[in-house]
Amino acid sequence: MEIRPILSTVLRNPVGLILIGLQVALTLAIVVNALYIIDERLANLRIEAGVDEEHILTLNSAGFASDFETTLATIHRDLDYLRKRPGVVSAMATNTLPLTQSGWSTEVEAQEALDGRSIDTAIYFADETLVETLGLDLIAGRAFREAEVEPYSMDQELRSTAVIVSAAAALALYPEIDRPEQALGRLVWNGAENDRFSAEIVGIVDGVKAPWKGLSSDIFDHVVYVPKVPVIANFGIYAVRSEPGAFADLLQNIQPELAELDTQRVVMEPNAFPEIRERFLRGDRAMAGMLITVVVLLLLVNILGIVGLVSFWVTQRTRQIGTRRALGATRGNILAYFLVENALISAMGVAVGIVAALALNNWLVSAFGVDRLPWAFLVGGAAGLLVLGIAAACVPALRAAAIPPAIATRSV
Amino acid sequence: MLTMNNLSKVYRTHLVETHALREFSIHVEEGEFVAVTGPSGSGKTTFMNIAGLLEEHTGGSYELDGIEVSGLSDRRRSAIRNEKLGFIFQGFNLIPDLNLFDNVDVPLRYRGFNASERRRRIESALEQVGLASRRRHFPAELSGGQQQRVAIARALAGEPRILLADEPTGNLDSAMARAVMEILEGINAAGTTIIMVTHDPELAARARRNVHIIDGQVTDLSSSFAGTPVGAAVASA
Repeated sequence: MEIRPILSTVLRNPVGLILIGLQVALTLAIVVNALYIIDERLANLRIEAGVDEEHILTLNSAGFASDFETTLATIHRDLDYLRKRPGVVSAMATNTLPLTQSGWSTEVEAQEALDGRSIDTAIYFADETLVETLGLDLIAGRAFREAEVEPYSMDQELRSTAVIVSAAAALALYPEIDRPEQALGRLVWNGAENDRFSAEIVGIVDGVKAPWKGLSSDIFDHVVYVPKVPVIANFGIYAVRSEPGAFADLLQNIQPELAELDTQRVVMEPNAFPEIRERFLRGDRAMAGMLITVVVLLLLVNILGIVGLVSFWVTQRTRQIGTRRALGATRGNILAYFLVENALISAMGVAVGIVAALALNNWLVSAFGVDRLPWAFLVGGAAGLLVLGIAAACVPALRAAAIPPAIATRSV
Repeated sequence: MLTMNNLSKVYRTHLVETHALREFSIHVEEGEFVAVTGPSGSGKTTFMNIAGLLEEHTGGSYELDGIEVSGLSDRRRSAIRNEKLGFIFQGFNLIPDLNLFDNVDVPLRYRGFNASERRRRIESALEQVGLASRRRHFPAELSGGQQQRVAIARALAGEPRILLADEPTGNLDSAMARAVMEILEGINAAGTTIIMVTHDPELAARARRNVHIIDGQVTDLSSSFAGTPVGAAVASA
């Protein structure tokens, strides 16, 4: 294989090297990072909230009368209606649900001291029907007891005696345990430095998600349920789980029914959990779609660039190709020449592209909290671009291989 | 060494049919120096292309060094060109981005010689044309005569049985043309068969035999070669 003379030719004509090399380098840098982000976003589309997504809806209400205030009695009346309504499995008052992109979070500690192990976590309010209402996977411990559930208003501390935590939160809070069940009975600490309080972990649930994804922390998997009923100003939020087959009926009729119970407030259109999920994924879907378009366009430009430049070289070197054929080159030799030449240029571009891809990734990590690019993406992207470059060069290279040796004696 | 018998070459388009060679018969013995002359469009280049396996003929037979080349595959024809033939072109046809060493190396790489064998042959060939000291130079740094000497070195390095020269002095001034002609004469004296197309009657006269082509046919033969006259050779073939 005549690599050295080909390399010598390439280096004596640096314009082609610079054009194709830079094009390949830029394409690699952008495509590899874009593919990684696409992969992450597409993985998001497969996220499960950890609740019975197909049968849950939320109902929000807000009093409009100036003297209207949501009370514990109001909430009990609403829940009593909802729980007895045909087609409803269970219902509870809460502050928010997974994937709603709105909610509460705090930092909790594994010990009384503030300077020890701590995690960021989402806080959900729940009552004794939590597991049944949301269809959670309780892998250890128990649900809340009715006696543990207390009303909560905004002027109170968020104190409770018991909490239910997600398995991921338990493992993060107590790195020394092997299985999340081992966190049962341990204390979770919260509060200001001079006013610390704790709650015992009474249950572990698996797979439940926070309302949002954190940019740089693992908060998405960290969930702590507190046994509280939110009694906050004039608002009310209910999670309702339907029986199979009754979801459409609930979705259509539950709002006017609940509104009839109290004419001093507005009950909003119910939010079906699949819609909540769809809204949560909209950004990921749009980003993945946009990046896929960018990647396809970049690769197309890359292919067209290579086809164009190699075609130009073939035309420019027609006489030279004929001469090589006259001197004994087979069609395969000519084909190989152009493919090797393109592979060498692409390889140089890929080498620069790898550095550029890492630099771009570093910037994305620091600016947008994107994860570090795995080596597999870099290696796969580099190999893919090389193969694509060679494949793109095939068309003009085959045209070169078809040039007859008699061209050597013609004036072209 | 080279025998064409009733050979024809027809170029066809959807409108025109051109008979470039008709009933073309010639026999060239080993060691001959044959000058091929004729007016423009007479078929000289077509003859050279077919003789050099750069084109296929349409009819008749062509035997080169004992091999009937009609119908051979492209790969086989490439191998024969590489092993048995050396080419010298009017425009030199050096590869501008390769230095002299690499230019001479081109056919040797296709031959599959190892690096040391190629180096030996390249240095010997460049030595033979007096350009060994300039092997790292590029074609653009040489005069026309020097470039043609490099082309001769490239043709010689493979130790061909036949050297085919297409107007080898056509782009050179008379002094350079004489120098190139002297080199060719030296090569022929060493035993290599040479077939040279030329417009120059003075150069043709220096060949040991002249073949004249008109309208695609060998119409006039004059021989100073001490072998069988071409017509007789064909007749007895």
